[in-house]
Amino acid sequence: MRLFLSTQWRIYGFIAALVPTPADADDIFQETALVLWRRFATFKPGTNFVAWALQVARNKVLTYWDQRKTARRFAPEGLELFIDELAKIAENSDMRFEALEHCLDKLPAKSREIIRLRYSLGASTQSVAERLERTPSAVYKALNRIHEALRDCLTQTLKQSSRAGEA
Amino acid sequence: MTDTFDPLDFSDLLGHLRDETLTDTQWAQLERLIRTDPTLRQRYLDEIMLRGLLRARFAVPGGAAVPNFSLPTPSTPATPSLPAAAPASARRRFWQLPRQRAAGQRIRVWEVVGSLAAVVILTCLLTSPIWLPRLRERPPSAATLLSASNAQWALWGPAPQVDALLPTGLLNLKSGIIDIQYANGTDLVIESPARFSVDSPNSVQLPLGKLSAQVPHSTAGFTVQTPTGTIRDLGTEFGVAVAADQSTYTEVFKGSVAVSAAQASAAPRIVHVAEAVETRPQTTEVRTVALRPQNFVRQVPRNGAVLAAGTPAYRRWQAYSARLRQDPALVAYYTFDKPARGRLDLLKNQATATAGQSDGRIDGATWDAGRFAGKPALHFNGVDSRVQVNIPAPLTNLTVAVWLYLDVKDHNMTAILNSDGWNRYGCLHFQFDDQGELRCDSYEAGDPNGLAHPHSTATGLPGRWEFIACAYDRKTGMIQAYRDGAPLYTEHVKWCNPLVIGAAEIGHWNPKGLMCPYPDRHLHGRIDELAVFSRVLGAAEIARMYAAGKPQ
Repeated sequence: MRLFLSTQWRIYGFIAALVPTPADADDIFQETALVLWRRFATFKPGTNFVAWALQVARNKVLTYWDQRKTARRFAPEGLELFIDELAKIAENSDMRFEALEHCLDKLPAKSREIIRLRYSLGASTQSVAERLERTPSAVYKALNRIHEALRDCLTQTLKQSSRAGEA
Repeated sequence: MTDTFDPLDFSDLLGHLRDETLTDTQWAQLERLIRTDPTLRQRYLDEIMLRGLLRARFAVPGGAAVPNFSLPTPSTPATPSLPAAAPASARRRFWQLPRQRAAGQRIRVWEVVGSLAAVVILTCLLTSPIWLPRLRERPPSAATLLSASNAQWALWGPAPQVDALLPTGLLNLKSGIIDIQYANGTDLVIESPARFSVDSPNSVQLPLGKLSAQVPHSTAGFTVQTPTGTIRDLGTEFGVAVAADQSTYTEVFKGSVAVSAAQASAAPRIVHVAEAVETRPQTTEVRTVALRPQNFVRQVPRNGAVLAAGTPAYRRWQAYSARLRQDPALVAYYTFDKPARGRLDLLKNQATATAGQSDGRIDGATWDAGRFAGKPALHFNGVDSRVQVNIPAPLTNLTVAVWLYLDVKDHNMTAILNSDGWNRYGCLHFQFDDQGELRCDSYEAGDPNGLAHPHSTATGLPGRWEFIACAYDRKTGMIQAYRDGAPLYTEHVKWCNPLVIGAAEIGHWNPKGLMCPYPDRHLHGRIDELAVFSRVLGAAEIARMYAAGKPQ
């Protein structure tokens, strides 16, 4: 259980990155957790639990896309390639959540509010715009800017962290 | 191609990806770009990883997985032990490491370990259960969790505790029902699945789920905010249901509320008792809608710990009920179990002999607390609620038994189980009069007024669960009434026709156009068990039924 608790952020983040909606992510996360629980007897203590858990999550995501009959998906080989790349990132993303907290703290208050509404309430851009009495276009552009700022900040923060670790 | 691709356009593609508004053409373009351009590919990976991080950070992931993981299973091998959690001084944000290196010996230990093992240990420390609550630390809100019935939370940190203040921020109730109370006395019953947050002392945000609110008259202006509307209390009791598509259904049980659409500039719409409105995404309209059987739960018993396992009395009754439903003479048996899925307006007939027949249709009655902690009941509002049933079989003999709780007696007559109309031989009116007297009435030849036999003023008193039964023995021409397992009165009658309940209503009477001085017979109270037998239950059986089903 402690192994799972210590890695669930990364497992969920990995899944949430790969599916369209939080509800889909919730479902796959739950299915993944159940598989991990049932198959825990096959996990070898001392080996990489994160990699093992992400492998289970990876298979669940692939199944999800297989069952999703839509044109808006990557070709199977492309999807698997991306999933594997993302799994590598997630496997080594222990510091990303802390970096995200740091980057969120650095955002202006208005930007934080937009992000909070968008992700905390699961609101669409349209709904966020209604809440803030702004146009959807303005909120859309603001979200683009905020995402870009967060991506840049994450990259910089992780680089600094890496340098600090090497020093 | 990618050499000339405008980065702004790529940002736009990522924006549409985030908003799920990518067209097929844009999707194909995005796919091609990230296949062929390593830089854009990395940006794409960073973007979707950021999306995952933000969802994990804000939208609490679901699944009962975490609670499941806490279940002990002897066959599971021991979990590899993790290193002991570092003291608080070591659990600080990693970008502060350079500054802390000079100050903290423990940090230095981690820094000098360059092996994979050290990375794993640091990973575990930063994401350990002890660390996580600190990351997600939230100040307490203004609302206390009063009770929880089978509640499971999808939270990274510890689950909210009964009798403690809820934390602020978004809370995800995956299953169960909870009752929370604000410092100002406002009481909310929230049903899963629900996402909500209590961030102010007089409001709640409800992105998803159902709640019923009771706001004291002394507290004005309590507000429910949903993605598509705002519901402001005007001294009332009301229910709000937010669907997955963010549409918001509001129904008023008592008093009135003011409802505004999210983007509307017009004055709020005032909604009165027994009215319902809806707000939907991308409209500014507050639309009147028909009352729907939303089955709002309006009360949760206070002892959540007991609810999880069921009280001994509840378990005793469940065992008895399981045997009872096998009785071949049971022609209809309603245990008032709330349907978990499917038709929420269905009141299932649990009698084995007539399974699939005589199911009831709930109209206006709402789910409420039953006589045992954790057992549901249907609440009849005394205005327009009922359950429609049809029990067509002709019955030589008959026993009807019910567990009910009267809120008030505010009508001349109060129906428990009444056949439609009153002009058909053998039809039944099992009801109270305005004095609280039980009437086991049946329409019979030669007696156009039926058989009305009020004999006791001790029944039908509001404010307590009562077990009421009437046994009709056509062979001996006797009606025996019971209250709480004891004989109440006996009446001798002469029957010529079999009893046929036929089309009937629980908690209401349909006069079917009949001119009658007392057409309004709405029940104002709760029923959580009703049984109809095609035989006469003797005094001993009635006493056993009462003993098995009494709340304490």
